Amino acid sequence: MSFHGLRGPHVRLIAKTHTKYSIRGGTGLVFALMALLTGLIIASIFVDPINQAKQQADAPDDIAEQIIQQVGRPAIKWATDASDTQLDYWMDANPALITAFMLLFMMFLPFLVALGASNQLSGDIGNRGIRYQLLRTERANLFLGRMVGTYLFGLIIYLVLFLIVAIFFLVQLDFYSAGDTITWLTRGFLAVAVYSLPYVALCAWISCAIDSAFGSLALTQLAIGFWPLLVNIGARQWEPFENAGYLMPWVYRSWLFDPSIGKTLAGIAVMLAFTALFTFLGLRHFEKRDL
Amino acid sequence: MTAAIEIDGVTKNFGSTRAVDNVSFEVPERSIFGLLGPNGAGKTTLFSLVASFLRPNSGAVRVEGIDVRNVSKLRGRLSILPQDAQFQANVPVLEQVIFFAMLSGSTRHDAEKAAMDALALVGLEEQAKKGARVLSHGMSKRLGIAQAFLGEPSVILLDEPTAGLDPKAARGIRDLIANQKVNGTLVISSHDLAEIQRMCDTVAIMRQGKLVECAKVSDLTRNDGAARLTFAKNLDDAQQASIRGVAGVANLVVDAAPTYGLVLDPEGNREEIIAKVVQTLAAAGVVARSIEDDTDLESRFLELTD
Repeated sequence: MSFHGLRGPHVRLIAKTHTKYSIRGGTGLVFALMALLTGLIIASIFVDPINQAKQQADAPDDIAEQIIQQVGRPAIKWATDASDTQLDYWMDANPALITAFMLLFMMFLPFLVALGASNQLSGDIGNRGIRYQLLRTERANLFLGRMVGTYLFGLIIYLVLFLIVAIFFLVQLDFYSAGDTITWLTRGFLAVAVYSLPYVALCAWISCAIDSAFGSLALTQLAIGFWPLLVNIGARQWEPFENAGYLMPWVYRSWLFDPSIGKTLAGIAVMLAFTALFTFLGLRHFEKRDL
Repeated sequence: MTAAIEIDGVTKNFGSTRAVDNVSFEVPERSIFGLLGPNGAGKTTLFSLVASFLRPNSGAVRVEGIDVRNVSKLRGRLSILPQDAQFQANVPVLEQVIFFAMLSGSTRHDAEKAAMDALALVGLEEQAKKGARVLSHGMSKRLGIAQAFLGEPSVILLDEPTAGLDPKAARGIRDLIANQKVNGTLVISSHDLAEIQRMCDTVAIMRQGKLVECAKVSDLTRNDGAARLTFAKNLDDAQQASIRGVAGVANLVVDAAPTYGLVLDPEGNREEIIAKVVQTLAAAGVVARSIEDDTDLESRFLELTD
């Protein structure tokens, strides 16, 4: 593998063009709609029941807090296997409903990323459109430029989603202060930004290996969903198999929300390490393969 | 004469299929070079190897002395019209050409001008702001040619530029290529042998992945004492024997009856020998419908690839 042809201006140009025209492509549009829809449905799952309970109660804020502590807390503990320290940080020190929204959204995020990132190269390899660019730049620039463009496009969509969700929580629920809402959602957005990175890289690797956009989508969804499922089933039969989950970024996602700065930074480091690994494997394959 | 492209013992396999088999030849600098062969001969694979889209299993390809494994060193010097490659359907045609020009090293301002000039050259100004999905097959080919000539590269590969086009559109593409100011080397693959004969200086002919001939067009089409006779009906054995008996006739071969190939003694006077053949046939009551010089590229191509 050679990186001597790597050019910053080319990566920037390819990333910019890819971001600019992502929405025009079918998969980009589907990803944007699905990400927004999923986020808003998740937000409304938490906001609507609380709102209804508040309307029927004499002390709306008390009943909301009661529901969060009695229903929300055990549910989040079950879903994330969080420690009491983590739960206190998520449910008491910060807006609990926004925590619930962000944790659930993070569970769907890898599958949403695959929708937007699975066709970084596969479609253009399949229809040979990539050949118009191959004599004009190094393969590494194409691979990294499209990966960066895909990532930036995703960030724009998540930013729009989090802005809508912030307004939704502030206007619809009127339960948390604007400062708490925006601060905690900003942390969530940063976590999403970091957590989506290794999955964009994983999709880039798979996308450069498959000549069909649909095939790449199917394989990325399978790769993302299969491992946690396998670990879950395997751990029921043999508990130590649970540790196999650490081979994918999935397990580390709650570290990004951890009260300890050290563990949060470790979570970021793990995500960057997975990103580097998937990018390296993808680049190596793309450099060597026939196009 | 130095070589613009050197193909040195190149082999390419796809699984168990050998698409290109130990092919070696050179494309002279500043020439118009034709690559010929029937379907499946390996022409497109060879183009793809030269452009470094495909990696050879063995052998090496050099363009202007640079190994194509370092293809980035050829940026702006080598370009291609790939066969069947599609443009991005939803992106405006002009933006795509600007993008190509910027990748080739132009600034945005220069790229815009170069892209508009290139589109004007191929008559696609009106489609500039539309997505590539609105382009017909012929228009897509023209766009492909526009991007291939963008930035005046010194080596241009055109893989079947007229394939799938109606005669009028094909003529338009041919005129377009002919009118380009090619200061470098142009390599064209085509099934239209008359087109290749008219445009090219040198040709390579491939068959089943192997190179069967590489020579100047003038050498391949040189009349070396052959003619083709076509009759209204097949000649019987006695009539064939009488022709073979004419002094100066080396042989009579059945080409595709009632067309026969007449092989002449190179030492004899061609016109006199043919006149004697005509007289002999007339005496036997047979008149040839046509007598042609066996000098076109098609005959040579069929001979080499059958």
